[in-house]
Amino acid sequence: MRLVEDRKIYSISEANFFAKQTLEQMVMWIEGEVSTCRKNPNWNFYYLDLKDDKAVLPCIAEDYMLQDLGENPVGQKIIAFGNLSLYEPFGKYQFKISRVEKAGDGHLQRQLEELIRKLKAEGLFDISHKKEIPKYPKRICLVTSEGSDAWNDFRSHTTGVFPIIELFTADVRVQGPKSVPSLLKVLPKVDSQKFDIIVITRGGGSLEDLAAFNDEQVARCIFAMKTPTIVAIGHEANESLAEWVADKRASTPTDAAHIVISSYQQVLEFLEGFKYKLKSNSNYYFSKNFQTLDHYYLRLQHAQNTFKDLPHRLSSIKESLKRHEKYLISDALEKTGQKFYELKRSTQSFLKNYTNILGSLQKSLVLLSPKNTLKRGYSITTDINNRVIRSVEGVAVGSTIGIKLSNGRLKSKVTGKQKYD
Amino acid sequence: MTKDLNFTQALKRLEEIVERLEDPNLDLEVGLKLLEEGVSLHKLCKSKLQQANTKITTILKEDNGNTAESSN
Repeated sequence: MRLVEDRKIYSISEANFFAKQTLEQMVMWIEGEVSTCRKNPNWNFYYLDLKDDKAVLPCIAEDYMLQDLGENPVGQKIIAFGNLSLYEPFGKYQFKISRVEKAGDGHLQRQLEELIRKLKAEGLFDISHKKEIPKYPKRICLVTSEGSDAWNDFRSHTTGVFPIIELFTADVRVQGPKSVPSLLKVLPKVDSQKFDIIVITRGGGSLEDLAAFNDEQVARCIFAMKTPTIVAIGHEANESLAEWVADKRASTPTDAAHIVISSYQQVLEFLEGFKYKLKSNSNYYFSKNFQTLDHYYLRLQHAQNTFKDLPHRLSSIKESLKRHEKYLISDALEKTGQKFYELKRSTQSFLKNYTNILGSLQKSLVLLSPKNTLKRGYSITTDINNRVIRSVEGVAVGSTIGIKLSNGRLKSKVTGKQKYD
Repeated sequence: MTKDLNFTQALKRLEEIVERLEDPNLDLEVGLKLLEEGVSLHKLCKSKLQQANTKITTILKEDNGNTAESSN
């Protein structure tokens, strides 16, 4: 340094030296993508350029520090600890790295783990907060970047298969600094629109890519949602905070779609099964019933034949009746004739018998008649009043009596009477 | 009366009739009436069954067409 007309004038070396002193007090973590990397030909250290989307920062690092980054560090995102510095001969500003971590599994990962612990302690992951996913959703809101692979996958596996599902898209930024505000704005809005399910999804990526879905505010926002929510971020291996707080986690957009349609799928499978059963059962039913009907028809025909046969049977019965008629009638006549003869004969003998009896009775009658008796010498005594006297008693001696003989009568006087003992 | 029966009822009645017709002591007039009823029941059953079969075959065919379309 020298003084010229009250001015302090520093040499270049001094300026650089001062700058270096100041810069080297700035110790920090930086994050960026390795855009170039080359080794110093003589020394064991590397020149790296780290960049983000606006600026580039030249860095130097010793070779062992870069071991974790593999053969080609270019394109990798790293977090580096170190301090700013200056290469005095060229006045070149640079960052001297003393420690390197891959951005994915180091600092951010630790931050995330811490956040997970915190939210877990608050109960945000508790199963008791998980809402049930409706089995047969009709209105679904898909929160993702419209037109992305995730969007396409989910669509084709939901409405593509079951058009009954109405799918709405809430287009959001799923990556970069605008994605958190975008999510925070959209999620409460779609939550109020009475969807059956809200599905938040994006494809896989690095931890930085998924940063919005590991954001605490976004996680709390998803937790507060009233609509059942499925979150599917990234590939199978990725896991995000958003998934932890969601009502249901899915590994990929397609997996989320499968969860949504699983009940429909089941119903479809059931229906297929029923259809198969219906087919086989109806085949069985129809063949069985057709058979039964045929069988009955045969039996009906048989019955019909029996009736058809009737005239024939009747005429044959008639024939046989005719044949028997002759015998029957002559037989009957013969029998009748015989009976008549028997009747006649018995009547005749009956009559004869009675004629005889009558004859002998007549004879007896003739013999016993009073006329004949008088003829044989008997007489009948009467009183004067012509009453027959049967006893000597009552007849006084001296009374007049009448005596009837066969050829006249006498009038006589009783001169005596004698009674027989 | 026959027309009002559904398939199962008609089939049952037909079975009854066939059994009664096979009774050797069946009266002629009763038998003829039963035979007439039986034949008309058989006709009814057969036509109902054929209609149903055609309908179901058509439905199952149509449905196959639809599922083929929606799975594409």
